[in-house]
Amino acid sequence: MARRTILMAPGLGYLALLLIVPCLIIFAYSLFERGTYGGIVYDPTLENYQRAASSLFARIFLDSVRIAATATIVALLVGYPAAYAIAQQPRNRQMALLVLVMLPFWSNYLIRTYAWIVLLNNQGLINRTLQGAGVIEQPLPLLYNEFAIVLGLVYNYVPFVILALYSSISRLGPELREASFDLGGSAWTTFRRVTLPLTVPGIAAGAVFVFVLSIGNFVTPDLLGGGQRPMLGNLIYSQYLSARDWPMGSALGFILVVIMLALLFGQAILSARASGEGEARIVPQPARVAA
Amino acid sequence: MSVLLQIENVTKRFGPITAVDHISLEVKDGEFFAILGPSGCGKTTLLRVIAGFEPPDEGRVRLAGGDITELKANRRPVNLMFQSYALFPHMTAFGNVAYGLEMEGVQGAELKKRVDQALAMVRMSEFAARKPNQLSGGQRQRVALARALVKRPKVLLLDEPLGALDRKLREQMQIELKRLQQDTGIAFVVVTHDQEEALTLADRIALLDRGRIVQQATPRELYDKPVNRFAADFIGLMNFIEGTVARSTFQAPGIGRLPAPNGIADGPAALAIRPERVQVRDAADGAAIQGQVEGAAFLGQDVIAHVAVANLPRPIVARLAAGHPLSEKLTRGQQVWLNWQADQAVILKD
Repeated sequence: MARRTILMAPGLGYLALLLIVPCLIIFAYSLFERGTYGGIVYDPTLENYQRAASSLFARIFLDSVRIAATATIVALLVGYPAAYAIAQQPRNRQMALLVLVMLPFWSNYLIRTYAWIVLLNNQGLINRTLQGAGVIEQPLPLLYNEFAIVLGLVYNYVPFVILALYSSISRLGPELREASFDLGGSAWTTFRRVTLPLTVPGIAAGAVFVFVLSIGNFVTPDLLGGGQRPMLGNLIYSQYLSARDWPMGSALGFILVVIMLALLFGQAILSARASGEGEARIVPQPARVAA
Repeated sequence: MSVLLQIENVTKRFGPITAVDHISLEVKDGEFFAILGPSGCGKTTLLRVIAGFEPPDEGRVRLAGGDITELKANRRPVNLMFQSYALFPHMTAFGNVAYGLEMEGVQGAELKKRVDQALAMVRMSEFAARKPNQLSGGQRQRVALARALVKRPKVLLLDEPLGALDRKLREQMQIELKRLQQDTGIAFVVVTHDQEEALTLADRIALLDRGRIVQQATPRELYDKPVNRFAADFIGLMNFIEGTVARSTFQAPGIGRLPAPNGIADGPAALAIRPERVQVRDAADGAAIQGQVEGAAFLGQDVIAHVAVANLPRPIVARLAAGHPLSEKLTRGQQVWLNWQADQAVILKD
């Protein structure tokens, strides 16, 4: 018991000092007023949360949820078939493919995002190619809109989705699918009734990952959205650094933290329920319990 | 009994390895058939060919006269009980058993009735609402059996059905499987590496080695008349005495001449005799072989004696049944005389 406490101490200390304490500070700030020239006036108030519920903020909030949700769904639709295909490969090829999936992370996030600007702008590679081929007359509006933001978010987070889904799908093994097939199930029924329900934990983990990272992201909306569609992350950024309204920024930040915690909590419940069922997936050992 | 399942000259290769090599066999209506062999002999591959998971490279699979070689697994009236059971972990026992019927479009009261019947048949009614992880190994197997049987397949395939169970449970399940097979009248094809299991369960056995059928026979035939050393060695215990055959006489150093059945070509051969067929006496008697007891082991009822014979490289093993006059008196170094009836020994060329 004592040893376990000692081993956990650095990790717990790190979390307490750099995650829980800052969150509490942010929560505390969010309950005060801003000073006229920035700074904080320590008069307790709920005004920041009232303003967060106002139509201006609410619209940005809903936009952010919509964009993050769209990115999540697209990332799942792209990532699931890819993860499924990788999990069907021979073992040694699986590892090589997973390394390829993670390859973009070997370069800088900003550089990757700028690369999309080069590809998507009016004189960019895609528009020029399409115009050159005579497919379109006017360049397609590919950049500085919601499409570009979703594209950037999906591009950045789809590897995480693939990893989460891969671990979930590969653990399943071929036998359950074969059993379904043997009992008369078609490929589609087998997927719908066996594979999909058993990979829900992987789907949830991947989805929460994309959604949480997307809704708080402020670089992609800035660069690919051209600042036309600020998201929650941009809003918090500007409250802190441009408007110098720390209490307001803190209130928005705290709302974001609560949303993330709720999602992670839901995902934890899902995967805990699934791990109870996971035992049966292991090839049964000689039974110790009498039938 | 008419022929139900026909495997005709089936070959299955995986790259350079030929897992199943021109195998032909027939399973009759209502028969309990065992495919027996050591690991890697191709028995599981053969089972998967029958189930429809592995298309054969050559040969045909026929069921009740119709060619099912090209039929996909989900269209074959054949079900497989997996070695790992492969129960759906997110469904209850009821849900698992119902799954196959739902695929056939059975629903409502009819579905419930048939699932309940199937669970009752394997004595799992009270566990219908449990998920697989809330069941013991033996219980899971019963659910897996019910799940396959509820579809009323023409043939039920079982992959090492007793392999994962402990000894006591295994004996119980052997009886249970036999009962289920007789009650349902469905032909069972069981794959196993355990010769005892095959001998007790099956009406007929196909013994496989390196992708080929060594012998296809009833358990008694396989035990009494093995066709070669592999078959003789794989099933039960066997004494081998190396010697030669010349003009219908078997000759080996240490045991003299014995008559060999007609039709055995001259050349090196082995005489094979089961330990329980070796008679042991403590007095000289006719043509008996003299030997010296090397050791005796009490097996609960029977006694196993190892008897060294001059000029034979290995001792002859004899099994003395309970009540044998010598069974309690054998001591190390004791002189004994061994004999057997000529028709109970088998002369094997290869």
